[in-house]
Amino acid sequence: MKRLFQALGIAALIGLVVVLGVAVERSRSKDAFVKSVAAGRLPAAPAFNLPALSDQGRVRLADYRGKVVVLNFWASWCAPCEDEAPLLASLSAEQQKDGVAFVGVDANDVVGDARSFARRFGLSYPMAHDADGSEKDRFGVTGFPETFVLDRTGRAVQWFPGPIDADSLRAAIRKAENA
Amino acid sequence: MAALALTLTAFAPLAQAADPEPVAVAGVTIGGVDVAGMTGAQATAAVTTAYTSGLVRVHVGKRNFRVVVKRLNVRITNLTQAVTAALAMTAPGDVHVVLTYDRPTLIRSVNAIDTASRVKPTKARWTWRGRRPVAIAEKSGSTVDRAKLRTDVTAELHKPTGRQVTATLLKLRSSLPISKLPPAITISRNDHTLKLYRVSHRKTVLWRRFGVAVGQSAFPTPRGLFRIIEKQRNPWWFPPDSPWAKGLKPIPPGPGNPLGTRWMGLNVSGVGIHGTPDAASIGYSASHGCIRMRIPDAEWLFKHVRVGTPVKIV
Repeated sequence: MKRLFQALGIAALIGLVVVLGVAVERSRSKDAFVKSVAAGRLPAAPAFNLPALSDQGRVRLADYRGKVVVLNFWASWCAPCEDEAPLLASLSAEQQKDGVAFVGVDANDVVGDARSFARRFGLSYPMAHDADGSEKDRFGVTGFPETFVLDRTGRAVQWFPGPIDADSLRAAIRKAENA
Repeated sequence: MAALALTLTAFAPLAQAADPEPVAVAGVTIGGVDVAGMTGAQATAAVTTAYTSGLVRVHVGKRNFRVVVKRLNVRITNLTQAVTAALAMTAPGDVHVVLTYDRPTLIRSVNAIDTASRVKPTKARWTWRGRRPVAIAEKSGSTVDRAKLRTDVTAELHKPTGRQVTATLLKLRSSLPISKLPPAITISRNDHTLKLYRVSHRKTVLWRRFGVAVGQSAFPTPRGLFRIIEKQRNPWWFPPDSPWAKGLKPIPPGPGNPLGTRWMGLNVSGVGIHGTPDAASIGYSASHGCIRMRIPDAEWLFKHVRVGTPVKIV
């Protein structure tokens, strides 16, 4: 009888370890990309091909190979995005001449709201619309705004899990140019 | 000039004296190729050309493909015997040909035709007309029956002319038919309702309608399209990274837990559908952005949605 209990105990322990392992594995897969960026492993950014917010054509990340890319995830209902938008507008104007491309991804949003947001803040760079946020999820983005800086070969050099500030973004762009 | 004329006349009788080269009689064919009146060399050339060049046309639906016979390296193994037999015939008749061809190339050609013409099946999905979800049916796909096409093309190689095949298509079933499409949710912030839609007899129908509380004006529930990405029974409540939650401590599962007994998290952090012990708030804009439901409603909904269920908030 004692042996039986021991065996059951061991079986339960193994079961627990397996379940925990699966849980850890799951949570890891969701934020694998951002963690890898944060650790400086320069992972390749997931490719996306999304409809343009303007409703004309599509926005493909692969089209920006050869340029440093500032990839900004946002939504019109996000208050910190409103605070960040004027800075993005001025920095994109400042940096565009130097082979740096700004690309926006509007996710989990209403198209009309997003278009007026972009117009209101004069965000004139290419904007993709990720209707249900599933492409955003592949990046491991969980809130807005979040920004990635990619080097010319599409590797993520820096991740900003919140609003950017001008100096850090300029530094990240410089880092991407030299990566 | 005179010398040339002399040589010519000298040769003429010699040529006439030699046996004329034998030719096949009228009505003789080799593998269906008419060789009547041909010498051995001419018949050999005609039969070889007919069987080792040209195309097999392959029709797949409305598209046309071609298999270039030359690439299949067709050989007539009994060509010499066949021509000898044909020349020896005194009455109309056909001499069969025996062919070999490069089978790996044929397999590759058929596979390439299948790959190029394959139609992938699509899954059933939800689309949105304003606030109403509409279920879009799946589409089945098609693929070429490769084994049959190989047999059919091989049969055509054994014909000297007019080689064409219509490929047989096999249906590829969708992995998600409309009858299996999981439900979809629309939440109206103005009406304070959560509506669950499902597919019944291939049509979108309203399944259940619940009263909910949504975000107060300072913390509006975001508008847009979302997906449920996590489901939790008896969740802990953790203070979100927001000014209003500063200094608050996590709350374990139990009667006073602000998330009730079920949590259905959306793919934006901090926003989800959950039960609430504060049933009086239902019907109002009272939350910090979440969608609150009565506890039994949340438990019922939890059982009928899954990770991936789309949620449109208007």
